[in-house]
Amino acid sequence: MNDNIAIESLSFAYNGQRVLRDIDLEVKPGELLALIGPNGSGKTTLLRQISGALRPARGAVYLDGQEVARLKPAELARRLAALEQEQSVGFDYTVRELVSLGRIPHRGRLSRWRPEDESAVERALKSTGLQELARRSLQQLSGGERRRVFLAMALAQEPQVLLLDEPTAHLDLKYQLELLGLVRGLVARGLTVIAAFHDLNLAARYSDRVAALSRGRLVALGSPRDVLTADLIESVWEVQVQVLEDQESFWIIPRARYSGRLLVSS
Amino acid sequence: MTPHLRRARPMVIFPTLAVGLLASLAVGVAVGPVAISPGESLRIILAQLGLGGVGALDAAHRLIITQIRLPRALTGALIGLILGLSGTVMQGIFRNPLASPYLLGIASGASAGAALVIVLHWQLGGMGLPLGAFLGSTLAVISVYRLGMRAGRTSPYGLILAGIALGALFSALTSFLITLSSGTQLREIVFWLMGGLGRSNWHYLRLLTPVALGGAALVFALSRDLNALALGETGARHLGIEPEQLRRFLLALVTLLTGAAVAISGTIGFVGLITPHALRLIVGPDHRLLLPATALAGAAFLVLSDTLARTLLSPVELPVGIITAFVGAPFFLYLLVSSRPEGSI
Repeated sequence: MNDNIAIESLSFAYNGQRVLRDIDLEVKPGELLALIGPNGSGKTTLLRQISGALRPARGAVYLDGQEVARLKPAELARRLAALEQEQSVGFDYTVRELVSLGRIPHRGRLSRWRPEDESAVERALKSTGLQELARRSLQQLSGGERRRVFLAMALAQEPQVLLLDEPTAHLDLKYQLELLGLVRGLVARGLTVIAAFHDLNLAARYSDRVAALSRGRLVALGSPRDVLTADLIESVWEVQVQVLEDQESFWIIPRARYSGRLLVSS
Repeated sequence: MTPHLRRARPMVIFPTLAVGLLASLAVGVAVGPVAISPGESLRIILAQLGLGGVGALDAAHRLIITQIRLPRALTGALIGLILGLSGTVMQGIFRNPLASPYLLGIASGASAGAALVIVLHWQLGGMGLPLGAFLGSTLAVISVYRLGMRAGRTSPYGLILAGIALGALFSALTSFLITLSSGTQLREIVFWLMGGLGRSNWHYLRLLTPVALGGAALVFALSRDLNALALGETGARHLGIEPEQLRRFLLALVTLLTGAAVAISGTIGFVGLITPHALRLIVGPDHRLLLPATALAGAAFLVLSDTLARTLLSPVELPVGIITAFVGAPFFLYLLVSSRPEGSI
């Protein structure tokens, strides 16, 4: 299947305020696209438009040529999984029970648990390294482990497209690298991933392409090296940075200094 | 602290609960102020079903078993089943183990309706009290639902606040009716408020059975959807479940079920709060197991509590709500203090 996300002249307003304006964007199968932009630039809203949680005011989102807003919820959930920034859970679930919830869109109301459901859950636990923790309570896990549990739940959905909203927020350095390494491995196996990032260095290092949003508009799209220039970052974030690069990678370093009360760019 | 969460195996827990329910029904039928041996009770029931002769059986004992204890035990089982299931559904909808079937004003609405019928002497051929209670509870929930909507959607927060406010209003109405009532009416209202199975009969049971079993079947069919709701509004939608439609349908179902139950028994507390909470600790939060487990456990719990209520101070009969509260409240406190280091609330 040549699954592909296509966003066509998408606009969205919330309480009379335009949050997204005329977004056009295509995501190829097996690619990791990073959405970057300051707070309030519309990253989360765009992800929710793609996931069908919000409906566009104008324009449309297509999943493999079919309009997302017209797909049945279960049909959509079999092909696209999405993780929220903060996922809360009512009640005390074990890791395995939570991951099993990912099979909901694949099962009828009264259908029994099938071998293929079991093997999908097993695969998801294995690829996220959670087999040892399968019978633990979610409440006993660290932040990084929890994030992996929700990723495993999304993988149990066996989606073709995965949306991640700041997957590394609140994670320490080791867990950040671990989680993104895991996601990268999934992309190598053909998963399409769209992820919102705050950390520009992580976005640069792990994504194939970067889409920069500013005040609801798509202002730049391309390879990390092409998009993440000092000029663009200054115009979008109003922060001066220095970009250091060598053959293999590059680093973005803010030139901020502490001036009594506020962090300002020099 | 054990690193793993323990879960009872379905192959163990369901037979145990089923046997427990049958045993509680047997105790409920056999135990009472008039001593009738379990063997004789069984022979009477078999004879009633056309299996075995009537000749050798004591006529008074037959009457006690078939017209009083059996319909009462069965009514208790169905109402316990309804309260257990409704509590589980409400806790699932609100993602909160403190939710009960009475959260949205069903109890206070039913109480006001029942008090009104008692004060105004509306008999309606014996159906006045259940009808008044049922209409009161539905009216309360519909009002709460209308007032608790936010921008055309059900907001759990809005519903709970509207439930508290309207509950207070209906309770004030009940108190007002109590001050207007005569001595006998007062006693009748107070007993109704405390809840009991003393009004059980075959006629009510015939009305209750299809509601309880049909409602239970519908709730079971939605257990997968309730599981998705544990992830919240957006989480459920990402799994392909529309939370809004689901909540509306489930709230309507709980109102019908609990309304029918309180119409017969009055407001019996704690069954709908404790049963889901306790069973969740045993079978886990998966509604595919939790719902049938709470149905069986709620039924057995209420039948046993009612047997205690009838026999503890015999021949004086205690309202069963006192027993469920005496058992339920300490148990609830025990759970609160002991079970969860971080708390799942």
